[in-house]
Amino acid sequence: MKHSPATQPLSAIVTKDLLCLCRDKAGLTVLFIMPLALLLVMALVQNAVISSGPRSVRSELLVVDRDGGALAAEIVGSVASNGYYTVRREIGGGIPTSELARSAVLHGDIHACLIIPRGFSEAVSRHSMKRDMAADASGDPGESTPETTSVSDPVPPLEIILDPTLPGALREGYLNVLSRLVLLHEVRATFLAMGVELPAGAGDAGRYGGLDIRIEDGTFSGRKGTDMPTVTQQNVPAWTMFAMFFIVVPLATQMIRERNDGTLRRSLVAPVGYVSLVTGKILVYGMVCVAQFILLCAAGMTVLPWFGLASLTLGAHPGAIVPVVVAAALAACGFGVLIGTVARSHVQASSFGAVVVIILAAIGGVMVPVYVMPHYLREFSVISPLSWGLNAFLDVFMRGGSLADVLPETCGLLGFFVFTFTGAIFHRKRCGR
Amino acid sequence: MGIDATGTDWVNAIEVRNLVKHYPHGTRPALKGLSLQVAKGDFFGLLGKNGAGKTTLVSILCGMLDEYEGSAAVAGCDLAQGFDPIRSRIGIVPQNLALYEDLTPRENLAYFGGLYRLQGAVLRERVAECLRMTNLETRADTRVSRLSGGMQRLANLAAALVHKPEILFLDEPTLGIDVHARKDIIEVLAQLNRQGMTLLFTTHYMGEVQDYFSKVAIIDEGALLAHGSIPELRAAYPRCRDLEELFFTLTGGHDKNDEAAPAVFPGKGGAA
Repeated sequence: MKHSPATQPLSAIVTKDLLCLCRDKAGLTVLFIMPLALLLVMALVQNAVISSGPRSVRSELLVVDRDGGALAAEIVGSVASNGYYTVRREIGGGIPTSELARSAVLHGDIHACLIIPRGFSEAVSRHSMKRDMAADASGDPGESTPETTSVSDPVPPLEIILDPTLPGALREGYLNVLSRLVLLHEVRATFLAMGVELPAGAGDAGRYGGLDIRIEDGTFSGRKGTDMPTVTQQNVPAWTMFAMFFIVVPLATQMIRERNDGTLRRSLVAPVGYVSLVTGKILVYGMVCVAQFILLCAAGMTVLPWFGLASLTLGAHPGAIVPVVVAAALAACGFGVLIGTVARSHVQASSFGAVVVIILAAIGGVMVPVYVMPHYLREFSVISPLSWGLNAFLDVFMRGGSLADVLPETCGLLGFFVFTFTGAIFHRKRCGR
Repeated sequence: MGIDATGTDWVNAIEVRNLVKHYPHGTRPALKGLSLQVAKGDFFGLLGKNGAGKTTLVSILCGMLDEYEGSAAVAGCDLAQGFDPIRSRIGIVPQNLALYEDLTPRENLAYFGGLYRLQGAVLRERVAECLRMTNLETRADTRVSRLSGGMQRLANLAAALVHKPEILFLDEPTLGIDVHARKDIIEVLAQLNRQGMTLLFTTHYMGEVQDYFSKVAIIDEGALLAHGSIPELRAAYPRCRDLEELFFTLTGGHDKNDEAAPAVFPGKGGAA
């Protein structure tokens, strides 16, 4: 291919950098395989932890039913029908004793154990009837006399043994489910004693006391966002931004290698300037950033669904993502050029570059969403260019944003590029390094 | 002939006057008022121990170092006026292997040729010619990292020739290679010199090269100790049997005051 004499050096630089990159297997792994693996692992982990789907997080509950009554059967049936818990009756191929069940929890073999004591169903029924009779005697059906009911005929307690490592939400969930079931049973028994049968489903979860609660997504100008904010929609842009900025490490180390082995000085004897040499690098590594974006989006659309995750959708205005990708690529490359110019050694560039990118990613909401961070950390997230890029991606993918909506973040990223690139050139001129 | 502002008509390929260079954190100057001339077409040997100032001088003449005192001109162009007119007229073979080791010699040469705005068939022909000249044709498509040390040095030389420079700076180009590889490189250089190329060759191995040098300068601690052709130096230092002995006499443990007194070219900033 023929170039004009003016662009020939740039063409030579781009060709050289492309060849060097293509032959650097370790570098290619860092640039393409690592973000893909991170996306897959983190999306699967987060899906298991934060997904709102009914079967995403299941805790195993071992039931030791020493009662065998109707209420015990109802409790076990209700827990089994709850999407968060898997009920087990056996352990090690046999029905466990209370002691065995307790031991299984203590050894971490099972998350929780529910021991329903002998005579529990009957005691609860008797307890309800006595309370109703006491209420009848006092003339107030809603008022019971706890002193008489609890002391004269105590209900044997349900025992729940929980693994101390069980997350707080699941721990609370067990207690809420069981107390609600017992309460529901008591309410039913009270109404039955009054000659009223409650309709099926009354008191079940999912009802809000007759209130009409409408849930709505917040989108730009009322435009429709995606159907559901999924782990894929959050993770693909987040890890794409991380991968793009991680290019700082191979870019900066390549620049330092050229400085140390003398190829930079040799190149600078030729009629090309440092700006041209660096521009060639930005073009090559910028193309890599775009390739990373395409690869991770393709993985979000095709690979993640294989693992049971939602497929990536690009929002109502996918074209708006193009300037964001270009600006993010330039910002990442500018940062890499700055580190590669300022750092004194290969080790300094790789360790400092990696740590800075990880910190910027952490405060920028790549690893966990910004809204779950402590308040003082949320203030810092605005200084991270990864946060600007991520917000722009999320604007398009999840909030139905258009080109105009992502303009502020795009300009921010371009400004970051200009700042870092100019800083690198200024430093090179001042220090000759 | 003095310094020609246009650089179009020149006799001295290199002309250096009272050159002083201080490094920012250096305890002593790297160059202390060095003056010398290299005529067009010379095969000029710049000899000195490690740290004598050879690389500093070459770096200044190739535009890699600025902020020096005195004057320096290359191909008739005063470096103080800017380096751009000279860039395409000089080539440099650095001390270390300044090549991309993941690329082949052919790809390296194409890259450096591209920087000098060579392209298409012209570039391909020049690359092929340089590979032929350095006997690297059969290994032209092997990655530099997989070549022997001698072949790597030849590739390092070839990369400096691709744009046909008029003046070639060679900063210890035979460092760390065996005698056969050194001989190969010297023969290529001698051929280039016969074709009219001016060579400034810095080294502290002088056994194999001294017969090829048309002129020699010996420097130590940034100052010129002797300057002239081999016969002139022999005549000036009759007690020294060869260049190596002269070098040791001037820079080593011998009494310098006995030998350094007769300046070879007193009028041209000769012996210090």
